[in-house]
Amino acid sequence: MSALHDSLRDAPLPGEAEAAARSWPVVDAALAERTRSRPARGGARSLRRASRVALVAALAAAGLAAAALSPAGAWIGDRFAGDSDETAPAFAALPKGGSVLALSRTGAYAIDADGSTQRLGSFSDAGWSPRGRHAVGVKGRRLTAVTPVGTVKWTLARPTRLHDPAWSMGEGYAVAYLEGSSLRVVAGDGDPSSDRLLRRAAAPVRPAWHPESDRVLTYATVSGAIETVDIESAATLWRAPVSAHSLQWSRDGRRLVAVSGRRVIVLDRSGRILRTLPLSGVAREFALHPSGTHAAVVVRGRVVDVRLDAPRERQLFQGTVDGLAWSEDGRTLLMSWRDTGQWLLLGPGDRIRSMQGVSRELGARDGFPRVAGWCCGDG
Amino acid sequence: MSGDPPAAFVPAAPRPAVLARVEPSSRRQERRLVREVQSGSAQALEELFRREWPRAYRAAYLVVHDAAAAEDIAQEAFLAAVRAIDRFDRRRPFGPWMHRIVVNRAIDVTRARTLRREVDATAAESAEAPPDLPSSPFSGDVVAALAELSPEHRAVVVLRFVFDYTPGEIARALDMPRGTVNSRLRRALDRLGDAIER
Repeated sequence: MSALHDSLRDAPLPGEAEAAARSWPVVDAALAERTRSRPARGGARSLRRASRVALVAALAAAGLAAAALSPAGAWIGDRFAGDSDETAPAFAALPKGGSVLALSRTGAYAIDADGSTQRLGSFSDAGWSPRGRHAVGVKGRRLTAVTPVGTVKWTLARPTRLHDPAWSMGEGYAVAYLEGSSLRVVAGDGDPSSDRLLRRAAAPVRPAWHPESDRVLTYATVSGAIETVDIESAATLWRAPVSAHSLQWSRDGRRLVAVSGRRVIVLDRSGRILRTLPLSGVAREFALHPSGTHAAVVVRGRVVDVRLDAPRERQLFQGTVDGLAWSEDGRTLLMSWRDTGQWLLLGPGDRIRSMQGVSRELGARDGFPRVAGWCCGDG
Repeated sequence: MSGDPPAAFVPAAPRPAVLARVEPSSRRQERRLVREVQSGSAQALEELFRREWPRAYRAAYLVVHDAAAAEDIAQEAFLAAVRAIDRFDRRRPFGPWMHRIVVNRAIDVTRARTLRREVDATAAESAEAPPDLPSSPFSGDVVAALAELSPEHRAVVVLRFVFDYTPGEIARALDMPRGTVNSRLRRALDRLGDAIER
């Protein structure tokens, strides 16, 4: 076994030194930020005590003290809302309007603005219908539509595993999904006779429906392109040489935003590339703002706001966030913060409100639920 | 903070001894560093970073086999450690705590990448990579064979043969039964056997 030891321990790694050089300033800054956010005296003891409840609650308390003690203030402490009520239900903090979709290892859940929750099914992936009156989920070989209270409306079974379902954005007449690398569509009522193959070489990227039509669908190809098709005629409307692992149309249908590795690419409705914006790291999650002018992106353990008209990033939050969704009015960004098992609401003025105990309230005992969608104010 | 160039944090040559299990004297030093970081010492954090970064990066890389992802994972692990340092129990060793974060995160990332098959993203990144970086990091059969295993099997191999963890320690780190660790090790070694013999 010594050969195995030696090979694994001694083999030179690509980019290790460069990675350390890039990472050290970030880690150093995190410590400085944490130090600033602590109270000047007796802080460690009080912070440790508070952290038994939750890290964010401690940061909020420390932040309030730090804000009073330090003119510079601590950005994280300054931004956490000081009126959090630890006894309130986790989801009571959600703003009015819309339902949140959460995914965990145990399935998909809907959370209403009044804090009520509903398990939708044991789905591995899911999405809302245009007005949030239904959700579509996949589990294994099955595609299932359910109401927001979990009543199954229809189920479609296929021979192999399904993923990335997407309900059309117009009147909700169609659902697109991927079966392996095949792009397929089925009518919104689940009629099995309407189910058909659209393309054979689709990349494993959730297809994006044009918001003004139930016929126009954009998907990523395995060969590194984006293609927009008319699902009725199966004709290609346009094709652009852009690789993507995330696609979203702006709400007005004028812009398509593709994210690929360290780039955000903005295209117009005819597939012309308008601009390519570099990111400071590989994008992990992405949520286009309802205005279509900017997006929240998770890169390198941070959430940044990226303007789509200029190569500019602004840090919104530092932490390992694994799910993002904008509220219908675009005033609030909901984030699932895996590090501490909390959800966060980033509101106007970059104020942050935390929601603790989300796993417990959902009854999702096996794994932290991540934010997977937020729809719709008029639902 | 020190004005040293950041590249100085990484040794110029591989240092196998650094990857061996932590000795008692080193453990005492580690406890002192953690205590000082808890007090806000940037110098102590720098020393901890210098000691732990190569291991964190190596563990991440050997599971994900992608430099950019390994960097993100190791960096996120350090950020998580800094954010949670006040809660850290100094009686416990720091290294295994970090390795657990890194390896579990690497497994998650690899699973997600398998699902998404980020071929396009990888191609885009390698096109942007500096020309002096090797595009194919390992020519060795063993490491190439490791890449053929599932992320869960890779993680077990890395913890066993890079960090010398016992199956029991691996089971705790990955939150799985010890029997599963043993069976994964056996299966992984079977798969790696040919490469090792070569």
